[in-house]
Amino acid sequence: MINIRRLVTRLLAASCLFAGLANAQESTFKLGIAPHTSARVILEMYQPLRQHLERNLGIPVEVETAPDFTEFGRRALNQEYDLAVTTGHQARLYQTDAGYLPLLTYQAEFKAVGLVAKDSKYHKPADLRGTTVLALSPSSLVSLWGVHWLKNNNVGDITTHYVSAADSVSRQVLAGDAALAFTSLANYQKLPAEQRAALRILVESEPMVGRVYMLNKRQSAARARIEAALASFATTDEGRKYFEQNKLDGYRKLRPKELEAMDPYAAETRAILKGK
Amino acid sequence: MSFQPWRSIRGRLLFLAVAVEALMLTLLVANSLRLLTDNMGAQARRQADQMAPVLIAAIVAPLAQRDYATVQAVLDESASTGGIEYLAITDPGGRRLASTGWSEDTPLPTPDPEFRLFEGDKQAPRYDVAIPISIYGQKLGMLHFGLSLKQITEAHGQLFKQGIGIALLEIILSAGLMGLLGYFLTRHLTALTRASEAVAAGNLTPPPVPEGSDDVGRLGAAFNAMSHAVAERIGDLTAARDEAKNLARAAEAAAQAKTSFLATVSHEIRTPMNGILGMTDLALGTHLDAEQREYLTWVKLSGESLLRVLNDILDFSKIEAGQLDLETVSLDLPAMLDSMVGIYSAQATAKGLTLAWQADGDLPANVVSDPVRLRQILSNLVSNALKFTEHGGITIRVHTEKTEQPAVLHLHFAIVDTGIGIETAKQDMIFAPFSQAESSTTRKYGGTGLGLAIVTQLVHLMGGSIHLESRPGQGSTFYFSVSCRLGEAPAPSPHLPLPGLLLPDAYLAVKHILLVEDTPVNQLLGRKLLAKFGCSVELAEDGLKALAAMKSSTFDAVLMDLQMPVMGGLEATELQRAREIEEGLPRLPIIALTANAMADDRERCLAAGMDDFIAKPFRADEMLETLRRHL
Repeated sequence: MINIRRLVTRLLAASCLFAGLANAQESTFKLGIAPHTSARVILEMYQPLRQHLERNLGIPVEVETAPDFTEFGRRALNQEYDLAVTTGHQARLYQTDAGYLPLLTYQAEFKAVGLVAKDSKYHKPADLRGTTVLALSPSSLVSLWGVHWLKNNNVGDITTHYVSAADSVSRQVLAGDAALAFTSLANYQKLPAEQRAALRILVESEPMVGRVYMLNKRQSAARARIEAALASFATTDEGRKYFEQNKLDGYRKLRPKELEAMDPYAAETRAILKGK
Repeated sequence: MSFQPWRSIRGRLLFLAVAVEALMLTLLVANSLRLLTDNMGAQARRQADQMAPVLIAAIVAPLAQRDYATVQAVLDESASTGGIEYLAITDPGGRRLASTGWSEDTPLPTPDPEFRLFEGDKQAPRYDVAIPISIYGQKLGMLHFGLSLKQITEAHGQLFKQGIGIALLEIILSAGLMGLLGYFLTRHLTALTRASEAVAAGNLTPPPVPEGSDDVGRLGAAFNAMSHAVAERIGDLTAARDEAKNLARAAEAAAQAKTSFLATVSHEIRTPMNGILGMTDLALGTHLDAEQREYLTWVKLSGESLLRVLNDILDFSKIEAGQLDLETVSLDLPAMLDSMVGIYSAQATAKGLTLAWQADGDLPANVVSDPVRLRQILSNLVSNALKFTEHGGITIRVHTEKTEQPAVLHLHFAIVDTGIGIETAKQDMIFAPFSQAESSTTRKYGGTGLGLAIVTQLVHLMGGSIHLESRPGQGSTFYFSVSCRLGEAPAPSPHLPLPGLLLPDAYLAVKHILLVEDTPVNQLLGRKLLAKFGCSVELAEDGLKALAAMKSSTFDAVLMDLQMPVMGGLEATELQRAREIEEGLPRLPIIALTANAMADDRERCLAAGMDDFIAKPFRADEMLETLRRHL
């Protein structure tokens, strides 16, 4: 009887697995990438992974992003992605509010930074008072961290501008349009050398959980295959090149309570999304 | 003459120049339009090639972000620049994500990969383009847009209209210029042509055409000289023609006078000759002793000889005046030859000569010809042969020759004698009128020298020819031929007079004859002959008296002279015919009895209403036979 029960259980599991894939085959597998940089850069960056997933899963895979983090979050909560790659606080929100399943994250630490022009007069938080700062979407982790940092340092009378393209904030700072721009350390490191040389990191956050791969619950039956495909991607040449170019060091499992630590930011994001 | 400008040098040059101009302009405009069309098509494609990357670059990011509002905004803004009829973006599955300028309910047009700006006469409405939007290998969708070709096609139409207009203007200007140039170049030729046409129309002295040192000017000078010379020659010719006409009129008048004189002489000689011969015949019919009979016989022979001379002269004159008309009646050729031999056999026998005819091959039963004239030709030649032959004999040979026309044949005769012959040098001259081989011939053999000349003319009139083969001392052969037609019915046997004195041995039944005659001797001759025929005779001296007699008495026939005092025979006959019709009387036979022996006399008699014709001098049997035909 035990053997028969195991057999039935395996058959059911297999049927669920095939059902998940069959369901996935009905439409394109949507790989949603949070707009941490410009849409063109995102498309370029994630093409190796997209192609790998297509080959391994046997279904068409499309990379999508959104105009901003807020919209991305709204779509994710609306179950529009099969696999969403987003920052930790939104990942926590998707997990708690939309049933997404956390799969893995990058090994590299994720830090937020505040960039000013190298020769600028801004050397301490108080120097920023009365200036304009740039951030990505209000609901991005970097933006939320930056807002917290300004608040914790009693920097008032700040005008915050949100821009959709993460790689353009540095240009605006160098052009004098803003005093400071919040972005991720990874984005800073991907800037051209001459831009980096012209910038200066005024503040750097503690390490935070970086972009997390969140699987839509409707793909839960295919989770193993998807995790296996992601794992195999990390071993391919394209995968290694991807990690190296983006200084991500590879995938790792999420640590216990690592997402839960994002709850305060997730709560703010939820509020922003509800406000929208 | 109709106006045909293309037949002139100027017209042809103008036509050629305009044709070349039109051809070249057509080629130019067509080539320009073709180049423009190609260029515009390429321009449309180039514009599309330039637009597409820009549009794609602008919408890649919002597409990747599924920011369709931004995509729509980009499309709206792009479409507002003009030249674009519609813009649309579809996802990889074909679902329309954003569009502008195209109805949501209408499917987007499918681009034509073989796009041409003009397909025949149909003009493409726009240039449809569909380009996939793909980045880094990921298909994001499809960009559709339609470029308006309105400006291009309007420019094309404008160029076409302007090209046609300029071409037409150019052709008109060229035609005018060429026409003007042609006029200056060919105006002298035109003047020359008009002058030539004037000459052709009869104006032999047209106004002088312009002259000059160039080719046309020299041609004009030559024309003027020629025109002048032609006018002079025409003047000379006109004078010569007028003179010739005068001469011809004079000759015609002379010929007419001669003919008239001959007719008068003929009449005046025949009338007494009729009396001489007739009365001699009557005298020979009475009881005479041998000496008296011999004398009267010589009178008759001399009279007949004189009559033959007279007939020859009259025949020759009629032939020369073109007044001899041939008859076409059926003729029994063998019978005629038999009679010919019969007529002359007594003369031949008297000289110890043989006379015969022979045919080479079969002769047709009858032919259609003029038996009188054929008999005249043969009689002349046979009598000549008899005259110049002392030993041997005379043979008439005849054969026929078919012609290309089945109904027409040639009769070839040869009169062969063994007479004195004629020297070769003198053979030609014997055919000339009034000629004989030697002057001594006339003295020895007599004759006027007209016989062979008449024979020659008659042979020619009958469509044949004549020639002679002869050697002195060995005899002569006269060859002649005439044309005739084959007859359909056997010819009636000719009525042949017998030679010598002949009085009819038969009498007419008692008939009452009116003799209208003004000459006393002929009155007497007529009365005597008719009395011998058993007829009773009443005499009238002129036509008027004849009419009175015909009105008061009944006659079986009338013998009517033509030339009479008071009223001639023709007028009397016409009046009698009119009275017969008017009064419903039976037609009275009226027979002309006249010395008018010219060609048209018989015709005039028949036209006046007469029934027959007897020429004076006549033989008794001739009168008897004629009367028998009408009684």
